[in-house]
Amino acid sequence: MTSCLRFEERLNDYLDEHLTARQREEVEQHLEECAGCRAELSALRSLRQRADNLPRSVEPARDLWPAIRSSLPPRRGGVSARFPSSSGWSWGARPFGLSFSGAIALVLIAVAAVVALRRISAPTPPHGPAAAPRPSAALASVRRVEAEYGDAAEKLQSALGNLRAERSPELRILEENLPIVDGAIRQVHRAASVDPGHTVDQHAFARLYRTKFELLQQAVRLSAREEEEKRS
Amino acid sequence: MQALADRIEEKATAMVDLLGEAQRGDMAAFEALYRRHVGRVHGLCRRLARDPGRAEEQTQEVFLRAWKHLGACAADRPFEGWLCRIAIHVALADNRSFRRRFRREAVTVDGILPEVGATVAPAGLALDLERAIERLPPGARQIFVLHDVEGFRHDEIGKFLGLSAGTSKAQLHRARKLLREALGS
Repeated sequence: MTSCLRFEERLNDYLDEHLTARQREEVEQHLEECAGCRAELSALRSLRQRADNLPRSVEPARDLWPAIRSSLPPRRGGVSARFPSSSGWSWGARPFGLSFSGAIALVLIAVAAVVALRRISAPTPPHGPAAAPRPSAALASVRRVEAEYGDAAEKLQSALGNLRAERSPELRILEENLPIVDGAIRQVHRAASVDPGHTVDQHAFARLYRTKFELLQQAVRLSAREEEEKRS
Repeated sequence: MQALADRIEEKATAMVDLLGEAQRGDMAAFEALYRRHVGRVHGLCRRLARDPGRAEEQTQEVFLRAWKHLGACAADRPFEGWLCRIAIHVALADNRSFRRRFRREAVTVDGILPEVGATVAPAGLALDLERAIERLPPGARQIFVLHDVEGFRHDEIGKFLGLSAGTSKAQLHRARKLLREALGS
């Protein structure tokens, strides 16, 4: 059975309750007389009911949390809230100290991260056209990570520069390793910029930035503690 | 009835607690929020994206953005609704970008598209409908999902997609027509 053409749109609007009282009345009057339109409306109602009954929740085929977790930057209000602000370190919450072994452990983490990332960011062998990654995808990955961490790292670097305490061996070790991490970051950035076909493991790159972040954080805390001890 | 009200209240309180803890940087609380809502977010992305792999990528992106902007989520408003709006923005933006890169879909806008990937529903009658929705042209599919499945109004859909409410309505009617043809109803 076919519905009346001029009522086709009206039936959708009637179903969705988009008609004025007068238009609704007109449609209802027509429905009483037209079996085709009644069937049409019934079919539309059935489709809408089926759509409404579809499950809203559809679990992904695999657990996405590990990938999400490895890409999450520290939250402002969480870790980042404890950053020294431009007005200086918050002395109310005294920064905890860092042992020499702690400094060494961080350096080892930094070196491992750099080695891993250099391996990942090594130039990719030429592929056929079908296997070539999307142009600029690598650069987009790099920029995304930098957008998350760059600002926080810069603040820490600036805070570190403002603390004038005499450098202890622990602090010197931390500071000497920062350029290594920075070098690896620059290397990945350069590779992604000059070679659109280059691949970047975004999670590994984010880990490297987190390592830099932790090195800086520890260095600032250590430096602040040493400066305070010198004053007292 | 009181027991049900108590359970709802308890659930809402627990959710606010989790949100508050996650807003203070607690990763475990955020993981609990993820576990609770991933199906909802993925379901939405899956239907909007049509492609299983892209839906998973979009779902990840939704939670990354949610974490980044968690401070903007008010505790007295439903977290799931806030998350779903992020999901819609992420999925629609990614779909637009995908179509710009791969114009393949554009040539079939007048009819049902060929099938891609696995369908959303596990079995039963819904499977036919899921399959038919997947095969709708992109514009009609998105509007059908947002209106008839998710329950958004045309003015809201118009804002999401940068269309007038009238265009959204016309696309919805077209989607329903195509679906009925595909389902033989």
